[in-house]
Amino acid sequence: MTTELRYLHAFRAAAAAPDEEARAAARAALLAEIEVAASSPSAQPAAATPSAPAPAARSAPAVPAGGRARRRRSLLAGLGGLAAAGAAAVAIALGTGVGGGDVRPQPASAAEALRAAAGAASAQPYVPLTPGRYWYVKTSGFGDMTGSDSARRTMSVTLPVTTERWTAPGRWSRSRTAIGTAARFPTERDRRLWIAAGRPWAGTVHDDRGAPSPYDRDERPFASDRLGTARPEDLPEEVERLAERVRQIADAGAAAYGGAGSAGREQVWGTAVRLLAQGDAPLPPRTRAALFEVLAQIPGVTSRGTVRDARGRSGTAIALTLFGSLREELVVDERTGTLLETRSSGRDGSFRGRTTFLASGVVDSVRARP
Amino acid sequence: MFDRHYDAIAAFLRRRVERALADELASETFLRAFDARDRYDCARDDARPWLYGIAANLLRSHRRSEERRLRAYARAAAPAADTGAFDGVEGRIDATRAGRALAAALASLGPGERDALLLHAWTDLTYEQIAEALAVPVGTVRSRIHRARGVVRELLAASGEAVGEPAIAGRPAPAREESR
Repeated sequence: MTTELRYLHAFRAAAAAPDEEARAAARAALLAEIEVAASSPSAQPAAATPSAPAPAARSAPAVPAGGRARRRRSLLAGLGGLAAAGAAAVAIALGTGVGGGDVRPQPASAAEALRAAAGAASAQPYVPLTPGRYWYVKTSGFGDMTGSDSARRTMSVTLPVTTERWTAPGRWSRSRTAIGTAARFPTERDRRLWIAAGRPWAGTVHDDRGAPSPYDRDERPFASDRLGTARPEDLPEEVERLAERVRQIADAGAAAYGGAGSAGREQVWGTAVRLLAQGDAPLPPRTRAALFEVLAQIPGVTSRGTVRDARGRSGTAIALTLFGSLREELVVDERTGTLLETRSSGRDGSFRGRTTFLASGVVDSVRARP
Repeated sequence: MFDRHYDAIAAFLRRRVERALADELASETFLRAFDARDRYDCARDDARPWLYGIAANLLRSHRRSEERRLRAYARAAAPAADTGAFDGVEGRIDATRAGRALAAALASLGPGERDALLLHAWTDLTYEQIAEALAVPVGTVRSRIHRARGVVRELLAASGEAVGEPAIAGRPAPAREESR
């Protein structure tokens, strides 16, 4: 071995000694997270253990990398990272009836509605994300905060969150996150601990910087989905080819559990929805149109007619029941081909989460809005 | 997976940033791994590249802090006075000019180069696994490590440490194998 490597080997070697206490704390945090995932309104219905979660345990629209994890970390580090959360956090869903009330149930063909949305989407103007500019996304939804107090007692709380995020390829992302005060808790103990700790996070606003994104590692919208270096504009616009691509991404997700390696309709749905959410970069209109077509092909997709989203905007509710127990719903504006909101609920209609897509666009600088 | 890999991940992080932050990031690494479990390919026989990749990505957010500490360390007249930045007790190598030169060299590297070099030096990941961890082509890993080693070599030589004669014989190996 060469000399400089030997020096490197020795450099700070003493710092690497194992620490029982830190390991125990990390293990406790992980177990708490697994518990939360199994029982909280975070749309991850039933993951039992970190090592062998069942493929079906996860709702299809995945939390984007950096979403919940960054929120959680903020617990310890002064809420640095709520940012990435909202942008594409389609997994944070919400039950029917909370927020936007239904206007007039009018069951129609889901495929028809989605194809109308596809037609409208393809006619929309496209401003690609060019070097030097930023992709702006504003969403509102709910954040699951989990962390520990000074006595290392773990607590969880769900708070309303509005996030604005600016991203650009290879540059630091910025975000501004406003956290509301209407708290919900998984258990009474969480409520007690949270109040005793001084209601952390509630009513606060956070400016945050994120690692270069979207084309960098975890922040890259598609890299973690086995799309390699694909950029949004490189996704196929032709429906069958895009459907195949979506299936590939979804297959990779399904294979992650060592399962059959073949994606169910849940994964296809979740992948298509996540792409449509455009969390990290704009998709070309024809690609968005094709994604609506892909959704239209999924067996079991139904329409619930016209509803209003949390902001009172009118759209068509497109629903799919996932894994027999979780109901995911999109609110789609057929006239513009825009995804307005994603919600989810238990089969009994219980609240699971919601993300409302408020605004997006290409802007010239951080802090600029479309 | 936690039991098998936690100590190695924590060790890697602690060698790079202060202890409290490192422990927090180590914990966060596994929480993120759990969050992203549906994207992890269990067919892979080794979870380490994936976990180190998450850890490296988390470190990116603390890049400035890491570099600031390295620079402070490089400037420190007496490493003993530098306990705030580096947890106090370090191995002998750290107390030498070579240690400061190393710190200066590491601080001067780009984050991608530093990640590749330290994964190479402090873990037994292969070039291919480092490429997987950092989500870059293996050729990029090779060139980053090559360049980074060159920088380290240069600064070591400039510091007056005889590059042909490391004064670290008999030092314990880094604790990089312990948890597997």
